[in-house]
Amino acid sequence: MFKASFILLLLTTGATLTAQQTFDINRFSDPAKYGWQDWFDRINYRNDLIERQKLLQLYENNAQSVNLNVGKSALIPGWGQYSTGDYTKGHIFLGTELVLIGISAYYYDRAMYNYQKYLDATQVLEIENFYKKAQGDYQFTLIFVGLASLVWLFNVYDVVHSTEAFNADLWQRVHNDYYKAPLKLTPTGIEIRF
Amino acid sequence: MKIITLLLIVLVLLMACGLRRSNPLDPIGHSDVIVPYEVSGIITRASTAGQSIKFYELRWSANPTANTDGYYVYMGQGYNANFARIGSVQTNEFYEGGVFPGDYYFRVSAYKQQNGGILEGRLSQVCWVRVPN
Repeated sequence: MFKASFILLLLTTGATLTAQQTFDINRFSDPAKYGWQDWFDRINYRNDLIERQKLLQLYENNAQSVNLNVGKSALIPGWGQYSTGDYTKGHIFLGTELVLIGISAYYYDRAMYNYQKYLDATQVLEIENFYKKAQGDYQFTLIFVGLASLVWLFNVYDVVHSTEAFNADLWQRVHNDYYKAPLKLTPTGIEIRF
Repeated sequence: MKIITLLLIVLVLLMACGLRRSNPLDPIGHSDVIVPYEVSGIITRASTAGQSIKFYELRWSANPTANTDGYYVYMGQGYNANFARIGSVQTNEFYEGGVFPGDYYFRVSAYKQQNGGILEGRLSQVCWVRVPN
């Protein structure tokens, strides 16, 4: 135990001494390490940082929340995609979901109609036939409900990627708009670029 | 491949779901239900030509009493026509008098009272009788 503690102390002391020996105060305080060769570079860097902060603020104002879009698409398939401006996907998801739910409802209605006939039937052949019809339609209902569920799940999965892509594009767009716009409103006034 | 497997599993699970066979007369859902046998051996007889009272008569092989409580008689316009029930009898014969001359098509089924209802068996083959003028 004592031996181990001694070795540990020795190592710690050695490391500290070595560190003190290698620390270079000139290098630490040298502004050139940030790429600033002179005072103007430093000012430019500072201005660039301030502009980036402005951009970040613009980005955050327009960026979309993944959770919110997931909630939207979970509620109405395609809504999240519409929010990200991906109208084609929104149309496809909403349309597909409506069609699948419509077909499911149609088959469910038919299944229940035939099932009621099965319940009322008293003849062996009718009992068999109406049950087969009802069961067939019911299975179609389940298949289309299953497909609708898969589309719904994929829609929710897709909106996460759509929102991330939207936010990535947004940053690029905000950046381009800001730097390429000939006229800018800044807190200090109007800036015109030629 | 994973997606296809997942889809197949979902489809199999969905196909396994079914409607309940809750009709008390359904023989598949209820093992105590007795299905009446299909009626067979139908023999037809009709009034002869010139006879003043026109009639037709049907006879068939009787089902066991444990299996059948009575019989329904159906009549139609042809072999492939729709058949309408015209009578119910407890015995294995059916007689109808005062009919018009012509061709008549019949089917017969057996029934049995059980589980609070009447279960009717399969309809017999179509049989035919001609009542001459």
